[in-house]
Amino acid sequence: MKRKIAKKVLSVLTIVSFLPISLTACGSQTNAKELHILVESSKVQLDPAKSQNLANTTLGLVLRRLTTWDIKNDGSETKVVPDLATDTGTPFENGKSWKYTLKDGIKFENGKQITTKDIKWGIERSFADELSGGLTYHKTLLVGGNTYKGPFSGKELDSIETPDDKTIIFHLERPFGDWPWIVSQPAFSPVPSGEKNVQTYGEHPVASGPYKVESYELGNKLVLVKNDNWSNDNVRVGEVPKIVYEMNQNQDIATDRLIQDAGIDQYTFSNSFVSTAKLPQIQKNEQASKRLVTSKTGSLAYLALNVKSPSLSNLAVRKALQYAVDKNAYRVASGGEIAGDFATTLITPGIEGRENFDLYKSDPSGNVDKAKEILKEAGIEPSSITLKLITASSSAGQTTAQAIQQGIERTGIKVDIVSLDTESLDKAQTGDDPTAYDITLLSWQPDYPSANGNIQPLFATSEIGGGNYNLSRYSNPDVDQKITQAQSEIDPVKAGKLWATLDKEILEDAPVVPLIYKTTTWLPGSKVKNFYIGQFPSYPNYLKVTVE
Amino acid sequence: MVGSVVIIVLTILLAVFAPLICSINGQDPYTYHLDELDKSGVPLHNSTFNHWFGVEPLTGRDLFAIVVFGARTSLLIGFGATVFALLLGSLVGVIAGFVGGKLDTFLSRSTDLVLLFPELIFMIALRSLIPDWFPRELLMILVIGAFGWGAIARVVRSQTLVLANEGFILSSRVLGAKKFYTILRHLLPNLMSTIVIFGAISIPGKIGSEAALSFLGVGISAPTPSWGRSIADAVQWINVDALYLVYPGLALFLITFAFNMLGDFLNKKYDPRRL
Repeated sequence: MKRKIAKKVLSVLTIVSFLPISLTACGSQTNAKELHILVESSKVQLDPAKSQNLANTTLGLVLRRLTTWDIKNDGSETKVVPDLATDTGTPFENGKSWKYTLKDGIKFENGKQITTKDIKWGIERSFADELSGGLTYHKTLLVGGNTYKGPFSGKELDSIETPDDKTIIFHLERPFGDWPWIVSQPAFSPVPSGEKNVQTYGEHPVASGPYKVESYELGNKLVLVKNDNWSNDNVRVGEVPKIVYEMNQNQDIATDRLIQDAGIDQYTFSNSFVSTAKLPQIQKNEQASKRLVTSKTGSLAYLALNVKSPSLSNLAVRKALQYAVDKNAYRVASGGEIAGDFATTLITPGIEGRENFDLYKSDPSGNVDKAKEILKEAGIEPSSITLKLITASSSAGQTTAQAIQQGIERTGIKVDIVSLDTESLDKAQTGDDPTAYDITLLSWQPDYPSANGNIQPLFATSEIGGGNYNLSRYSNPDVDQKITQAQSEIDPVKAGKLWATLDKEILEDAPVVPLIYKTTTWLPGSKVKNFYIGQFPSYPNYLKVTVE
Repeated sequence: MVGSVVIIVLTILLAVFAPLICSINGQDPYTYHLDELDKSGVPLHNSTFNHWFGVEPLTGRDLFAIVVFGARTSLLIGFGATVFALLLGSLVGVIAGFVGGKLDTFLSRSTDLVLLFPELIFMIALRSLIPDWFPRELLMILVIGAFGWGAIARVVRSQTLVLANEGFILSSRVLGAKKFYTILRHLLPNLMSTIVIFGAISIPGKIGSEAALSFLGVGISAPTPSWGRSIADAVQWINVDALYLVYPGLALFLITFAFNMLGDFLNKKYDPRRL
């Protein structure tokens, strides 16, 4: 209790201490030409091998990749576009190999030409054990990636060919249609070939994007300034002369500062979205509510039904739960209407190939009679079932879990809520013990906008346990085979159709209850311009943000 | 004094007859009333004919019912943990004081250890070790009680040391009574008032511990109402719906205040040193 009060006092102090700055900021315009970004963590990870950043956030300001994302504000789908490469890739051998050519005149911050050797070095170092933590898609796809341990022992990864300084060829284990998206990930940014520093490279990476690191104080401040050697880029704007990251910022205090919108905070936004309890406060504040930016769609929030649990191995029970769950209560618990639309499919809106359907049509509050009927037909006594629901001990975790519990218990099935701290919850959800829970909640935002990212990580047999996210522990050989088939399809339209069929086929087995497409809401300062969220991801596009 | 007794009696009645009291206007602390909320999950009204204290944000559950049922949790765990601590503390104190010697040294050092132990942190850690099927209420009673017997053990030990040299105890022992018999027959009856007063003094602390654990999210499992958890939730809503914090906060304040007053009164009136 004391801690929370202390924070409140602190926030008042911060506001007061910023007042003098606000006066000077009004007086001279030159002071204002910097953008501030508030970060809750004590670290901003700039090592491309360790980063899981989306292409449109922090790392994208400093490092370019082979391809990147074109995120528009006009409601059109997010596209993969060339970045350092001249195109999004030329497949050959049916998509088992991909070839890229670099643009002319692309340079590092020190003026040196970027070559494919630098790209290759960047990818290779992501395999090193001391640089783990980044995205792993390429590690399983590249031939030999499963056994490769990084370039520091002098070994190269032979499945990446660099016949000359401009050409790079990738050889994959199997055809993979989404490869152009994979090469937009952090590991595909250039790191000067031969760079051996693994400890602190993440604090001062050699920039290829519009910004370079001027200073980095761990736990305090990261200052980015313009990189004069950046050119030939169609995606990034790079207009703001200076970007300052303030670390260790408590989310609630940050929100309070942004609501006040005084002085330098007018040129500020936070890297985390507004919490449920803060939303109504902002909505009641006229000048702040005008600044709210809400994503059109977002991650899929769903209830995973563990098919390996004795009571849920029965399809009838899982189908009954589709009707028993109160999606409306869940949405209210997540912040009401602004939290997002009700979900009925696995593939989220804004993803190529998505088809909208609803296999279990009912009111958003559920259809209790229908649920009871299904159980009765199957000869199951509801009171004989007790489901263990594991959830986060945070207040959001508690409220949403209770909303689910309340819905299901209307049928007579009992739900026990077990709350765990974040780490234990993650361990229980993604661990190897199938008896750790019967049902659990998760929101899933794919790493790149493809139906593959919606489906494969959540429903492929290979993703059960071992730190992976098939929380339903769903295993269907037919689905597995179709996933591989859809992944191998290089024609996006054909692939889209295959994914849409899979979406339906999986939901017929009812391993999850889709709840809502969870939007995120952000509050930028009043002088932050061009702050928008595209169709994907539900995060603002840092690359285009400017200030007044 | 009279006031605090009234508050305590009322709260006990509230806790015992919680379902009956809530049934007056047909409420319970579990049913959702989403129609009482606006589109961002904030209660539409502060107080209505059906919901005397209004409803909880994001769920629409009746706040009056939550506060009334919360008294059950608070008192059950508060009393339970106190009784457990008294039993444990008295036992340790009497044995240490009466038997003496090496056993006394050992028990006294153990008492010091319990008194100095960072109990809250340990309780949080312990929680993840206990399996889910173990009843949460019982667990909290045992855990809070197991860390709350230090002070009572000290007081009982010192009282025992004084009593042990009194004529009636010495005569009993000279007449050949067994130690156990002497403790039970002569010592305990004379320690009773100390123990009872100490119990009254330590109840608010135990109720506070329950609220603190629930506040930190490691107390009674949701949705069983608990004032501590309600307060934790309400803190985030302070700017939008301040009354949400007022009701459970006031309830917790009143009951701990009342028990403190009662304890003070008993302490002054029946101070063992003046007996």
